[in-house]
Amino acid sequence: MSRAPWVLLCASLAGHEARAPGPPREPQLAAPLEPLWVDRSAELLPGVATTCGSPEKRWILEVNGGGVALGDFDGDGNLDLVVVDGSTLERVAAGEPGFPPRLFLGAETGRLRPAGEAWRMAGGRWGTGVATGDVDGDGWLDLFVAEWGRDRLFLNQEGRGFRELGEESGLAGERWSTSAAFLDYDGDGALDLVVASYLAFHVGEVPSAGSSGCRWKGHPVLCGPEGLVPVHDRLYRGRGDGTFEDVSLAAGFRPERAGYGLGVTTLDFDLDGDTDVYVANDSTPNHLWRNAGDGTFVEVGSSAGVAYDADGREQAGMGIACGDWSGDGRPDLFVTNFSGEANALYRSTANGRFRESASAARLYGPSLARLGWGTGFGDFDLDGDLDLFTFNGHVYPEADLAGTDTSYAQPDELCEALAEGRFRVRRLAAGTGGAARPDVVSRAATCGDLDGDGDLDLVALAVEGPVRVLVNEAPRATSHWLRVRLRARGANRDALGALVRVEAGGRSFSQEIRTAGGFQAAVPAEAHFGLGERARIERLVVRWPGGREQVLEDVAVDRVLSIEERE
Amino acid sequence: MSAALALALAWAGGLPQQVEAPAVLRRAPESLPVADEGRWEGWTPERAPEEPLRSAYLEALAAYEQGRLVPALELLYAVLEAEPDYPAALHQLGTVYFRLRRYGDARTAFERFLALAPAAVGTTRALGHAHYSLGRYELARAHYERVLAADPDELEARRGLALAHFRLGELEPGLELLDEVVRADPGHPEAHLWRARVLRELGRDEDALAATARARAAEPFDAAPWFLAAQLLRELGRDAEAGAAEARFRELDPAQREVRRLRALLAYEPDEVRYLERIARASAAVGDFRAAREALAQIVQRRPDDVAARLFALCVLADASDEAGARIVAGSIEREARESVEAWRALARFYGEVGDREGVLRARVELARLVGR
Repeated sequence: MSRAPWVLLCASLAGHEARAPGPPREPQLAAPLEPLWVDRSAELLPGVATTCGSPEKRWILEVNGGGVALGDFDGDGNLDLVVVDGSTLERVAAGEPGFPPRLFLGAETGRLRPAGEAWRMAGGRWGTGVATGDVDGDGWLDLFVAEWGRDRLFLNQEGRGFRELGEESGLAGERWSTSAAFLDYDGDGALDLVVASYLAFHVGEVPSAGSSGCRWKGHPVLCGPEGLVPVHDRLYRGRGDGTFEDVSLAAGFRPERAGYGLGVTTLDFDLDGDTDVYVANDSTPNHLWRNAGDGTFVEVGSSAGVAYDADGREQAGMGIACGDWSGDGRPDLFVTNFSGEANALYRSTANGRFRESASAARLYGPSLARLGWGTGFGDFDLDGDLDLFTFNGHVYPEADLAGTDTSYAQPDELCEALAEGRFRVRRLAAGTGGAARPDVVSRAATCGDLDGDGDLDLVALAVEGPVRVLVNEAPRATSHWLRVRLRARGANRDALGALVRVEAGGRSFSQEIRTAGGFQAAVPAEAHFGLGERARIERLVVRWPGGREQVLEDVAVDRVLSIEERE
Repeated sequence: MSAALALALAWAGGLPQQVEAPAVLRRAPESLPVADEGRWEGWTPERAPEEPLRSAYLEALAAYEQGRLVPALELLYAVLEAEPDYPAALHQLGTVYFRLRRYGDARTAFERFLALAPAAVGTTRALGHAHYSLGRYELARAHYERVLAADPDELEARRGLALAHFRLGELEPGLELLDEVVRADPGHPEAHLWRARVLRELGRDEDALAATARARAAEPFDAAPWFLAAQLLRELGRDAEAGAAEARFRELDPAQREVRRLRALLAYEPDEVRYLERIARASAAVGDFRAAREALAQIVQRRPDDVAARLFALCVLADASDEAGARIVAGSIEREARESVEAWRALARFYGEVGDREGVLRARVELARLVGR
């Protein structure tokens, strides 16, 4: 066993014989940097809130919050917003449905308005996460809603409304699904679906808060996930018509590989052209499912170096960010974790392996007091480097009691990429007029260019309370950008799994097209590049699903570029 | 709560019952009174408070030594309420908080102590540890440097400084300090492990691998060096060796994780013998007899008159084939449980399993004596 640090303290006052010089001063901090985002919720999305159980949080079911997605559902070119809402145990006990998911249609100005009756979705039992993708290949974005209960699929009726598919969708069974992602793992053009599951939760079978062992820092708290039964993740093979077949067991997603799944993303970590899956598990090792190319997946998290922290300890994984932060053409991974644990930065190395590098990147210490959820890579200040956002908030209201070294509501943070592979962590958003914004208990978050000005805005949920729209107002006199949307020829119209590589000013930037947003979130199916002062792109290469490459040269910047796959 | 939900919950296992934590855990050291200015000027450790506070303070120290941290906390609060800022109690308060992993409270207590005794090297180092545990590495570094300025041979401050450098991404200075630590204490397991981590980060994988071997030799039941070795071996393309190292990691890790979790619970519930039982079993299962014996000794210490506790210890050690340890326990059972039929039956079984004919005979004689009586 490691030598416990406290043993060293038992020397007590033994050090008195030597005399230490005067006390060190607190480090002189530079003036705080201005947040990049301004909270414009009151103006853009007034009065929209979500619910997840009671504020007391006596049961683990009540702590994860709902889901959030950005995508263009009505085909007008602007991003729309889906908010997945939860429920309460009282409603469940009374046999009432949960609060329904809601769609808000976007405009060029970034304004969001409630969608009309045709888009109305009924409530399930208890909504959690969300995924987006064109599952029937008709060119319109469809919606998957994860539930504690039966998962649901809503087909987009050519931009005019949703139609919910029932049992015929093939998404059978009731469980606690959390995050989900569409992908085309078998390369047949039809979108498939991976769904992360958390644990078996049956009201009354879970020990009550404060039961023996359900303590944290001496305080009685809700029970779980330790001691509860983890449930394995699901893989559904799409038939291309909006229906699915559960292929979990045959593909390798089996009960003996169950973890407490919370976050999921899709990626091609080994650059072999097919799509792999990464799942962040709470209190169990994270899973990296390598696509074997024959319809099966092999779990390689430990050997690839993304299952544990740098010391071999499993962590409480929640959110996932995935992007080529290190600029080597391979995706890096970032996972948000529990308070007292550091967030993990898995930097890609050769041969599809990773090294946990949070310390070297200076992300370790700043995250110890945080419990992170929604996160994502993006070039938020458009300077040509991938930054990170993290939305934070504890699971225990008891975090506000004495001695926890953390708090229930927490600051949301921007980890701004600096030179030499390091980050600087700062507060993420201000209120309008630069006013200080109170901390909230944040959960899922998504990002996209809501107002079409080329930088990335954020939408975030709290465990309960208002949905926040954070508009990027970073000063950028000379910064350039490019958004790329792809149109593939097959049923996978949005080209999920495609890779876009941009070469500009002697640097190369690459991004994979996905809608997976890490924790209970979905992002637009597009690549966004911050280019700094590079005003021209020399070369843009698209590797389409299936491996064909398409090259564009001398590409203009500061625009949305749509690329159709050539014959 | 609706009647329907209440009914559902009551049927399925009862309403949630919130068990209150001891009141002292809801307190923070900021709530303690402050001494009059000059009250502790020129304080030295020899200067103790009057009775009954002196006894209360000593009782707090004893409780701490026994791992009864919450009672220790209660006593220290009582002392510090009656004698504000009594420096020794402040230091001890910080120490108890640190062991409870309440690092912010530990920091506050140590800072208050150092405001009265700024030259205390031991507490300065402890404050460095508290800052380190809170992720405030620049402050930790400053405190460790202060300690080393006063006492360049202070090895733990040197190790702490190395770790602070590492967490700040300052790899070369961190490695230099760790090299100094292992030169001074070649058997220091943590220093070897940290050297391995820093060397890996520096891209010196072969050197890192050698350091993990030294860490494993120094602390064979720690899973971390095996994990790191597996990662390094894989990166070096030595997949078969990596697989073996990972297999050992997978053996050790669950036990270590379980022990870590139970130790954290024990800090707040030291009388929960079942946690110690699980620690003993988990440790014995991976062959860590030292840790198993420690836990079993704690069980017997907490229940000195309980024959079942000693029999449990015998059972765990015998199951784990720790014959030496089991014989020690068997001897203590023979001495302390002479009138227990159950004890002699268990001893007869144990002596039979290890081929100790004299022991078997002795047990049979005692059984005949007890059963015939």
